[in-house]
Amino acid sequence: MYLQLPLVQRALIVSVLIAFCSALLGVTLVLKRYSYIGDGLSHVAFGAMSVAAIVGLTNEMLLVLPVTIICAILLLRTGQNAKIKGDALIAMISVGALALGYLLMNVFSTSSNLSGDVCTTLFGSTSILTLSKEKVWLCVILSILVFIGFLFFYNKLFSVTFDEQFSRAIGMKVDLYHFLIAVMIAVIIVLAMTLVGSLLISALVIFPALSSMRLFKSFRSVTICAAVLSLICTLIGIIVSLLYSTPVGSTIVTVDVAGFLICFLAGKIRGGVRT
Amino acid sequence: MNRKLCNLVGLFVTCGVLLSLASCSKQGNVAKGGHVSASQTGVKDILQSGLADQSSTIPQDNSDPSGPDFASLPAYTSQSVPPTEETVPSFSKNEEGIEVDLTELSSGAVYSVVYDMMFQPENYVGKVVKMQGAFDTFFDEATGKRYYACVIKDATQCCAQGIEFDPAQPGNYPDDYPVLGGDCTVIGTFDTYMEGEQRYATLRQATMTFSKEN
Repeated sequence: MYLQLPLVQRALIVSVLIAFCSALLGVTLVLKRYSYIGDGLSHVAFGAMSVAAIVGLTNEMLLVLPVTIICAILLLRTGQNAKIKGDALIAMISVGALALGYLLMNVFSTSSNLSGDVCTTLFGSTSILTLSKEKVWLCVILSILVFIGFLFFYNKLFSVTFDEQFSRAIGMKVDLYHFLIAVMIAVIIVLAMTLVGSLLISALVIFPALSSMRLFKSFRSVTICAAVLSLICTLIGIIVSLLYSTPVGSTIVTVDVAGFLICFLAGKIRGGVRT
Repeated sequence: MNRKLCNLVGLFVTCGVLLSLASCSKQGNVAKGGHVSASQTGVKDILQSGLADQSSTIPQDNSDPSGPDFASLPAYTSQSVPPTEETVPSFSKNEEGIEVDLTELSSGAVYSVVYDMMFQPENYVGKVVKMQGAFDTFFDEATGKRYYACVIKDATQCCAQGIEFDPAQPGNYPDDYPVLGGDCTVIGTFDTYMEGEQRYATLRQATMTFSKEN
């Protein structure tokens, strides 16, 4: 019944692609101790989206995507060497963008349902169930680009993720790969806002990675398992939310949490729990 | 193990891409039709929808500001209802003669379908729709006409949409109607109509069941 609805079909396609790509990059981010970057960037995207709405941009991606990419580059590149360290920088940008976005929406928006607007952006609300075909196309293209980028630069990303100093020593353009990671994660964050909202994006990035780390040890195994887990959890989450009238974003994240607990227990039983 | 996982992921990706292409190529016909509202979604669109509502020609009844937000009903320009080849979800007619029974769907799906009805009304014109939601009304002092609507909310209870209905037996307001925000079930034939330069959606010849207590 539900699968006959065009908007549900679009939601499933987009959510599968977003879940898959976010899990791929999630492993790299978790291993590089940048788990919280998803949260920070999503708040930046929230601020940019508020500005785009107020300015009246027909396609908000024109503003949201560049701003988020720039912030991602700033966070990943200057985080290690700057006076303000990575975690503090993420917190600063995150809170600042969130506050600014909400302030702008409050001051300049003439919407009759401001709380609904904010709720939609923060928790995804029904955004994923009201996707236009243009947005589906955009998501498909960007997801494929991210996936191809990840596959193509897999070895380089692996190297940069595990030993940045060594990579630099052997002549790899580490900054370039940081840039690539920043662009890809920014794209995924912007896309994932539609699925789970800006407050829950971190879960989509880190839970599949952490869950698969309970079961597997190699980078490749963890990445593949994270992608599969993320797909399964997202599909279950959407189906449960449709059947039981629960909010899509929080249901997906709850399933991710359950998935983590299962993997944790499975890892304990196997005796292969990693710290 | 790794190889198996690789194959599995490859299968998922292939399926995802094929599904995406199949779905989008089918919907590409609508884009050519020039549907004005088709690209609207997300917070920007809700904000824009709010802005559009503010400039709507229909004044709102301010007597009960705590009631559901009636302004969320979108208005259509005359260009927004082009002929389309997009297939409508295959709602089969049930024993009651209802083709789109929203009472059988979860709140998220209902919100999704009503959104589709509002932004692609041409796909639903002439279909008998049954919906359950909160009753709302407003009175246009300029024309002396009263409008009724059934409003539904999404699963997070933060977004609301509604469909106006035209009662088959108008009766007297408020005696023959539920209280504002009260639960009601409406059955009517989906249609659109022009008022000024705006196009609106409505359920014609609507019958309504409700309980006076709620």
